[in-house]
Amino acid sequence: MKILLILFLVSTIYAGDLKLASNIFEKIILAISHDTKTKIYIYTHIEAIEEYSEKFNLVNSCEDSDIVILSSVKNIPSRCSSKLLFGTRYKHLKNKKVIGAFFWQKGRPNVLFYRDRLEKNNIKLDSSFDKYIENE
Amino acid sequence: MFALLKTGKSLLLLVVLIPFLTIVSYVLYVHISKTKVDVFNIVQKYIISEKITLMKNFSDHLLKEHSTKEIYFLRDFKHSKHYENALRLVKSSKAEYIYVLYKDDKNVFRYLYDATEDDEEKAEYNQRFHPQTDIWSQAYLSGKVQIIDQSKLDGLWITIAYPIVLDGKTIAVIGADFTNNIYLSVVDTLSPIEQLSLYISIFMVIMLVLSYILFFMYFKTRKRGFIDPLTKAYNRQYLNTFLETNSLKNYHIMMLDLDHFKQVNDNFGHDIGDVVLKTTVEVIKNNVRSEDVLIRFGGEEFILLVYKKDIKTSITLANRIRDSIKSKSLHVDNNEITMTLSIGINPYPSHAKNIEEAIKIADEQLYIAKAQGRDRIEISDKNQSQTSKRISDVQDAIDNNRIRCAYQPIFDNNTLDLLKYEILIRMEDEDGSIVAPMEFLPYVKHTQVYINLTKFVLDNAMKVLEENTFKISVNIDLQDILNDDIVNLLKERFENKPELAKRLTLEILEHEGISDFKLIKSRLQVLKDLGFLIAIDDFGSGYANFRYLVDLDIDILKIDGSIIKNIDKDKSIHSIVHAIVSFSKSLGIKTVAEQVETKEELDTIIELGIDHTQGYYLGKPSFEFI
Repeated sequence: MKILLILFLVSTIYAGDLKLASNIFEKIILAISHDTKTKIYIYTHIEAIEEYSEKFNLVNSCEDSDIVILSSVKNIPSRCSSKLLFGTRYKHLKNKKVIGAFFWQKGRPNVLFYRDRLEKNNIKLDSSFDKYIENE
Repeated sequence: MFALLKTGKSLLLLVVLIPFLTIVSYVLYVHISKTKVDVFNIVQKYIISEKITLMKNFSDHLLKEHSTKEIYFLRDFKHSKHYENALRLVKSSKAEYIYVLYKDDKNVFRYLYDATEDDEEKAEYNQRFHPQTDIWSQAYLSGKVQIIDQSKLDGLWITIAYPIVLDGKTIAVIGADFTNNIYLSVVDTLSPIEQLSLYISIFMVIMLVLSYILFFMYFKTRKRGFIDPLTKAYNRQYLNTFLETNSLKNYHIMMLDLDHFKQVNDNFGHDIGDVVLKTTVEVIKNNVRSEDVLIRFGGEEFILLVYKKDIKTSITLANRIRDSIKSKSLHVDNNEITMTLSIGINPYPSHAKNIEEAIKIADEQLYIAKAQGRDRIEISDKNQSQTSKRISDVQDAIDNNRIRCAYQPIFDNNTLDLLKYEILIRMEDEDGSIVAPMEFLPYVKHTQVYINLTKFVLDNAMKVLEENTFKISVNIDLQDILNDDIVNLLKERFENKPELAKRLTLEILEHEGISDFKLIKSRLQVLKDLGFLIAIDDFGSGYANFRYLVDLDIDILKIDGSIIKNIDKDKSIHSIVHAIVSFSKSLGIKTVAEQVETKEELDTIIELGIDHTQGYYLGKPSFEFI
């Protein structure tokens, strides 16, 4: 009984976090591309997007995608290098090709873009994202 | 509710104990939950207080080490390792994050140091910090410690913002996030007790619900057990249960019996008989109120407990029921069945010793209604209670073998040899004294007890006849031969035993004048056909007169003892008896003189030609044969 109760609570809390994360991803992608049908490629595994895949236009290869969401920056396929890269760790931003990142730190959600990288890719975010844009 | 309470301890358990325990367990659960919150608040206060002290120590240490001029050391990356190590001393366990933030020139919060060891969680120097709340700004502005509940954030519990103040100006803020691991560790410690009490509460609630369901089902089943499956009226088992919780004082008792119902069964079959019974119940139910109780007492007999208002109302109700039954016709195979109802009412049931007696009184009235032609209503009066007690005593005597038969010899006057015995009934009281029949027989007339007594006497007569060669006389009331039950009883006992019937004389007593000689004659013929001899008892003392001798085919005439007494001295009596004897001889009727007590009386009746003699002079009643 107790185990079942805990499993239920954990699953609902977990599901709640994933949903929040998927919503944030949805807003960020829309802000970047201004297109609801932006093709997304996941490298390699982002649970919040996969779990709520119906919100996203996911594709199976980098070539077909507009934006690549990264769970890791190691060994990114070369065919992805021409695409817009978006990270999920603060450290992903060390890679100059990554335009921004959404990550959890100390229990808080963080969004960060670098201004020059956005400009370099001709990306204009709406003003609501201003507070998340930094000069490198 | 009283009805429920009377069902015993199990109900007390259900109504009082289980709900009480349920409430207690719930109160206990609430109390433990509150205690958990209290304990947690105490722990929280302690943790916060301890942390603030450590933060203060760190802040003091920091400010003490450096002068005002050196304030900008804080933003020197070279020192970060050193201060992060110092900051780790403030961090007491892995269950928290501790870091120092500063505001840059654009009022953006940035990490200065972060003592977090987990690489994924550790922020880098100068990394932008996105405040989710304004406690950081408030700490900066006020220079005072700020605390906020962070439980809405994933994995966090509370955050403390401790300002580092130098010369009245906040230069940085120490942040401490307590993760919910601490909260969970406290919860884990206290929750088993809370959960246990919760489970007990849930268990008790389930028990309570189950108990009520079972109780409901029990009563439903129990109620079904009290319903007559054919008519859907209550059955007689319900009566005692009903009276456990209801007083007879509040009711009038009616006994209702369908007249000639046996004929319906015989002529149309039991299926139609069942339809008649169901229809009867429907009709009765349509006429009574919800507070009245209808019970199928057996066969075609019903008891109606009428919630009383006054006798007149009950009589009106009885008449209404009787009329409704009479006006209800059933059509079966081109035949119309119309029933009538006889009703006996006891309006004083509480005067009786118990329900059985109260019913007997109503039954007696029913019996009278039946005897007087059926389709009638008879009502008992208050004196019926005394009668009822006597009835009860007689039934008690029957049940406890205290009814005995005495035998008085009757002699042949020609030879003075024993001719037969007359069976005389006696009742032995509880104290052993013998009670004469006139002290109890009048009370039980028209009741089932009287039938039971008759059965007893007939069984005894049969036994005596089977075991001996002499003849036997038994007394029977003239009204009895109009009673189907008694005639059927005689048939049942003697129909197949004509040899025994021939040796049995039925001495008919008469307490009321005969209104229908034709009916009596036909009934006597039935008895004579069975082989019985018919005697008229106590001739000359009551209603019996010479017309009896003419109109009824009798065998024996017993001249009453009041006439025989002093027959040897009183010439007028002598003349009357002479006339009776002469008339009887002319009709071939044998004569018996009763209560002969002296030799002179015996000599006179022999001289008058009376055939037989009975009396103390020749033989007293005895429980033994001569």
